Amino acid sequence: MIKLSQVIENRKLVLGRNERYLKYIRPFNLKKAIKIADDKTLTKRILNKNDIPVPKLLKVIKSVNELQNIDFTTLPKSFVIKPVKGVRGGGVEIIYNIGKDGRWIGSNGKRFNDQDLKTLIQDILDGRYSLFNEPDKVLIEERVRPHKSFKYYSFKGAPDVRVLVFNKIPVMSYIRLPTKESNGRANLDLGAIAAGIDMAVGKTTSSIIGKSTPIEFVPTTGLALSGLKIPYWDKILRYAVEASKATGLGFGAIDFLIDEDKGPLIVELNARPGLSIQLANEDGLRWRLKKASGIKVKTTEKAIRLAKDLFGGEIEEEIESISGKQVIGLLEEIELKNTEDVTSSVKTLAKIDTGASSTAIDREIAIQLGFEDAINYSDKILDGVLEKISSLDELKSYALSNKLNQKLEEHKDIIGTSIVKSANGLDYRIAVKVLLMISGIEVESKVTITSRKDLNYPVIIGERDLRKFLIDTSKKI
Amino acid sequence: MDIIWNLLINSGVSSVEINHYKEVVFILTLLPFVATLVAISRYMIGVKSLGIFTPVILTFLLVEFGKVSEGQDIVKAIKYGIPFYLIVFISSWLTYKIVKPLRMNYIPKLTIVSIGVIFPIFLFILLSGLSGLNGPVFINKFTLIILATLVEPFVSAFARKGSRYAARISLDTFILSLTCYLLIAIQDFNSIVNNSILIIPGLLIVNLYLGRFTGLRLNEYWRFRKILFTDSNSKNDKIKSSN
Repeated sequence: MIKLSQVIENRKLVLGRNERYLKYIRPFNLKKAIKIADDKTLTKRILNKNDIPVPKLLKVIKSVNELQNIDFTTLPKSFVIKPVKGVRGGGVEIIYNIGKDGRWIGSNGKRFNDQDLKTLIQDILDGRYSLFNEPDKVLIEERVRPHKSFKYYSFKGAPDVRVLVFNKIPVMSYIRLPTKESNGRANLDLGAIAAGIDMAVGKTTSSIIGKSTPIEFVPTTGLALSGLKIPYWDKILRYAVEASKATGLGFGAIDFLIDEDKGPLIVELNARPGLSIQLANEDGLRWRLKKASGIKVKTTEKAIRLAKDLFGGEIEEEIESISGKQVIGLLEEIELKNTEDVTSSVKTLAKIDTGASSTAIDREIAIQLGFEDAINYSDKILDGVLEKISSLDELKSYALSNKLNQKLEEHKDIIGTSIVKSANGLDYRIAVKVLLMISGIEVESKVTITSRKDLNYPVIIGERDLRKFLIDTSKKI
Repeated sequence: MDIIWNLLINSGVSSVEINHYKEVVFILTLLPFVATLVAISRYMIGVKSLGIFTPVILTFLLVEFGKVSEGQDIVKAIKYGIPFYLIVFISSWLTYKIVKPLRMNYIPKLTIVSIGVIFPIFLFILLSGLSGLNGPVFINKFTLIILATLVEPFVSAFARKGSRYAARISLDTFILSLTCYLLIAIQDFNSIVNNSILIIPGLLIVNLYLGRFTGLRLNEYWRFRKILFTDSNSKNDKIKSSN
């Protein structure tokens, strides 16, 4: 049962709508900045002037006259048609290519000839998708091809990374992944997934689907949503700070699309950022905004460093452990314990290898630690799989289509899986939680189980578990 | 307030007429009262409603429906309020669905929807009369105008946020108005009138407070429950605690 004092402390972390408006939107977003943020053409112009990348604007159509004179042959093969004042993403049409019949290919297999496109644009001009159906303008923008990192995480559509900036310091971030339910749109209202991003390393942490339901795996592919590394993270932080400076938006959200070749591009600024970002990050905004206020930010570099130091997770741990690292050699006598049953412990000689990313233990050791049941369970599921497969890609797609990691993680001891390509060939391993005692220091580790009977040592300690140590290659056992 | 009544009596006003003056005070006091309740419901509880004054109008609509010779008949107000509200909502929705794909200016679209609404209203009153229930036809006809004005907030909700959201928010608006109505109906007419001198400044103070209220809304305690009601074991504790 949670204590009242804890709830009172937690209350101080969270930003609600009332405070968001009175303490942040109203005082820090001046009319001029809001005007820039609300007008997509103005946003692009200002960002362009400040050398901040945006998707290229191909055409702006403001009137029926301009529409009559439009020459579609000057457009590239793919582009996006957008209303300037559209609500709920309505009226956005993505054109992917020109088909063999000369017609434009849109989403869901729709085909358009030139006249169809003109009708679409006319509808937007008439205000069909704008608030109160007032007349609108049309933007034709270059199409951003989503970065390959997101291929198995997003269903069609392009994922959108949002960075919330206050006082020029990025305070929180999340990525919105389109889902089947959201029909390829990155809107939480429509059922997209939002994954919180650690400010320091740019990796996803926790996730929600829709506005508040927690979720752990991608619905279509079964991949774990946490741990996804966002490409160009430092660039994203940099551009977010500079966009905030250039537009005078004191408290706002900067939305990025990440292009395969061009990297991060700013698609939109939002002067009234939503509060679901707190649920996606499982952390409140209020304490972060308070921390970020009152700091005088002189340079973009400083802003980025502050964001990472104040609001990042992993880097904190590294700074803590820099002083007083234990020195060990290339071989160490270690003790392993099963965290569920600390009486089962094994002592053995282990190879210390910073070239390996994670720790691996031999099957026999795992059995001695009490993981025999997990090993039998995984052997049954993986029976015969590796014999049939010869390439890494084959294994990856086999694993994905058969949702191997989800099946394996159903066992209470199995906390993860990994595909390893080593000198011994391809391996699909299960991971379990083990407590390592190395030179008097306890390290809780996620270790993979494999057969090391042909190798010199039954345990190899990888780089992830060596953070608290300095390796002295001349040290003798 | 007695000063004012005495003033009127002394200038020869009859007691029946005085009652009308009292009604004026009653209604005028209730106006900001209901608006304040709507504000409290939005900023402290987190209930969304169709605009600010729609619930206010709806509340007074219910007051009008429930009017009997002495005070309010709550059951009667609900008996008329629910059917009329539903008729306007459903007919607005259906008519809007028909005109939505047409390429038209907004206001004529709204007008057409209002035309789509008046037919069911008339039909309802007619059918009630034909089946022997002549209550509906004797309502204050001005309420029909008020019902018609509901078309604008309904259509705006349909256009901006879709039918599902519009249905939910319209229901919430009705429940809010019903609650305000119940709070009014149980009041004693005379005590409100005589205490209006105190009530109005009181409302002023409450609204000044609400205007600067930065607390979490009740629905936000639910929305952010994962963050608020978990035992924090995070390493960020020492950083966060500097508040």
